[in-house]
Amino acid sequence: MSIAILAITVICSTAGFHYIEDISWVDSLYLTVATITTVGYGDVAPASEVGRLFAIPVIIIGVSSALTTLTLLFGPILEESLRRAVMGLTRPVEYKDHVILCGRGALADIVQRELTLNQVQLVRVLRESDASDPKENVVIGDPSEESTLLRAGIHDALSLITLLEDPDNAFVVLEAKRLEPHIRVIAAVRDPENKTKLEEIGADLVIASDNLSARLLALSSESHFSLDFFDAELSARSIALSEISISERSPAVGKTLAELNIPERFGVSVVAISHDGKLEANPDPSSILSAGGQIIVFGERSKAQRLRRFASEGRGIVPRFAQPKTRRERPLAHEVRIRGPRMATNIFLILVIMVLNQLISPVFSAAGLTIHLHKAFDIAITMVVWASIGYLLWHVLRDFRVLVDLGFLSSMGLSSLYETQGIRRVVRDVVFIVTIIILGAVVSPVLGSIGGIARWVGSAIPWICLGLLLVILYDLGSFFHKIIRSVIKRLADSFASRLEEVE
Amino acid sequence: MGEKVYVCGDGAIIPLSCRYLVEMGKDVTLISDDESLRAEGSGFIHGDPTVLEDLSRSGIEKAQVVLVITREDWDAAFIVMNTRKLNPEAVIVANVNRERSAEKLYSLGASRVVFSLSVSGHLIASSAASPILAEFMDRIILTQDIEIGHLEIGKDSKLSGRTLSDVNVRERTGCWVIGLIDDEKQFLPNPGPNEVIEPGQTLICLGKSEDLRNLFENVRTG
Repeated sequence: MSIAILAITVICSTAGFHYIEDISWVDSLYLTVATITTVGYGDVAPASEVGRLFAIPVIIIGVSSALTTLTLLFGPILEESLRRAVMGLTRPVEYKDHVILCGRGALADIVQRELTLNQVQLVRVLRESDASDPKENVVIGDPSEESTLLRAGIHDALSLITLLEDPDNAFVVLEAKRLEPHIRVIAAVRDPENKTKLEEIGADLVIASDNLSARLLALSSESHFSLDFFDAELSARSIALSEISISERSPAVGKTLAELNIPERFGVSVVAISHDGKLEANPDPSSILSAGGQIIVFGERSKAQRLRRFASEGRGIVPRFAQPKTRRERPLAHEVRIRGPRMATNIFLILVIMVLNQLISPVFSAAGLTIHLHKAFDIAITMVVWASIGYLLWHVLRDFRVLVDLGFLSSMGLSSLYETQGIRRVVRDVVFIVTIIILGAVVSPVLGSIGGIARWVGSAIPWICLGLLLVILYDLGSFFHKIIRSVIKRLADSFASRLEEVE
Repeated sequence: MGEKVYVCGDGAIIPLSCRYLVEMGKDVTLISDDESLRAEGSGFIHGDPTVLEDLSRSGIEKAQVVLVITREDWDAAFIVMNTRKLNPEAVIVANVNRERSAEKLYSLGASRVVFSLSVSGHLIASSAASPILAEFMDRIILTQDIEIGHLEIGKDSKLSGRTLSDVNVRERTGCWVIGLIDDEKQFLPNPGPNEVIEPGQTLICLGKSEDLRNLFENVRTG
């Protein structure tokens, strides 16, 4: 459509200029192209008043249709190559405590549905995209490659599920465990003989799905065997087994099952409890619940969700799913090993770009080459330079922030601040301001010898500090806001539970 | 010899299923047009199980349990329909590859429809989000040291009319009634000791496999 409009505009305007301005066909076409691409050299220009009036709609229609056509033609290509080039090097921040699912097929669809039902954030990794695939939370690439797994946010993932062919599964397991030894890796295999092989190379759970299906069908021939919690009828009314974690702040900690009387209060049965990694089915009523333990209950999902809230009380929030939201402690050394080189490379690149930018024109003129760059071209180069410096700087700052959090705050014994997001951010802001002032003081004499830059740095520091001060104010504000909200929520909760007791 | 189990169809997991059934002590006969699916210890009848003549020739009317495992769900539908015609008493267990086929197979006469792939999916999904639950389910399905079983209370059941404390399931068998589904299909968790057992209810019991087996034997024999 836009291509057709563009073609018609070009033809009409070429003809128009040819007859109105009385210039040759070539000049007329040249003028049209120069106009709608906004180049506007001005060597050929409409001279008469009629010609100028004719040029106005040509500019408006031509420029917009040219832009649309260009975006349509090159947009997707550019987007895809940018995503491959840029996203491959860095990892997106939007995924956290998610599950990575590699592969497609009936089993993958079932797993996706189950996880979505449990409100788990899911990132799917697919070899190539398909029209029927969901567009969000999908990473395209080979799941046994480092860059693909990094893009899927493997460092922040809870677990990875691989449902590919058996040999491909092995490569994915190896790569995932190499990148992130703490991640829980689950694989499904066709051939039961591959189960032990995959377990040996580090998979935490290997399911031989055909074997499991066969076993299930054989067991189903026994009249009393019941998997009713998978039965369509029960799952439609969403009666299922659920896992619930006991937070240390929960009022349930230290109480016995008999005291808690969960079936009466919450409408679900406790079928197993787990403490210190030991699972006890059919628990005794005198069993005591401990912080960090789990219980498995049977009943409606919505009722289990109410119990889950009770088991995690004190946080003011409902955890997204059964897994306790523990911050996985990644050792400082591990972070430094990943982020250190990346930070150094980025800083080096920034310096190279700055130096190159300063050196290009002196070198050219020293070589006796005088180049007359078009002004727009010059501005474009400058913008590209600053955009790349800004981009690199952004990543340096992000890595720096994590290192400050881990290295500085925890070494100062401030790690308890992790608990309260707001305070932690304020402290981090203060650390940033101090660091920037010190850096500025150290660096400016060095840069002063280069000239030009020192003045820029000197005037930039107060502005940066001012900006950070505003950020502090904002963080403090949101911190107090959060406290007030959680207090109000707790009051409302206790009021609600008292009302329930009255009922 | 144990229960007479007929396995019909062309599904890839037939040999594994037959092997498990043989291990469980069943008298297994496979009806299929693919002899390579035959497992050791099971009988084999060559024929197309979707065809009524082939089924009636196989003596399926004597089967107590018929297991239907096919590649395509519509084949399963034909087998279930024909088997029900020939044998109104048998327990027909059908495997489906798509969840939406389940309802059709039930209406054609299947006693139990299993969407077996969903169990793998369930196990994988819950293992990713709740590892403890996955371990628990693993013990139910694979190692089988714990089981969840259901007990339907018929009109002439010995248990009907008695309270749970009368029956005293936990003391006598080590099993435990974790839930009850009443005749209106409402779920009642952890029924109390004074709950009266009525016909039409289903008791959901949890326990060690051998305890559960004892419980069901006891109920059957009185």
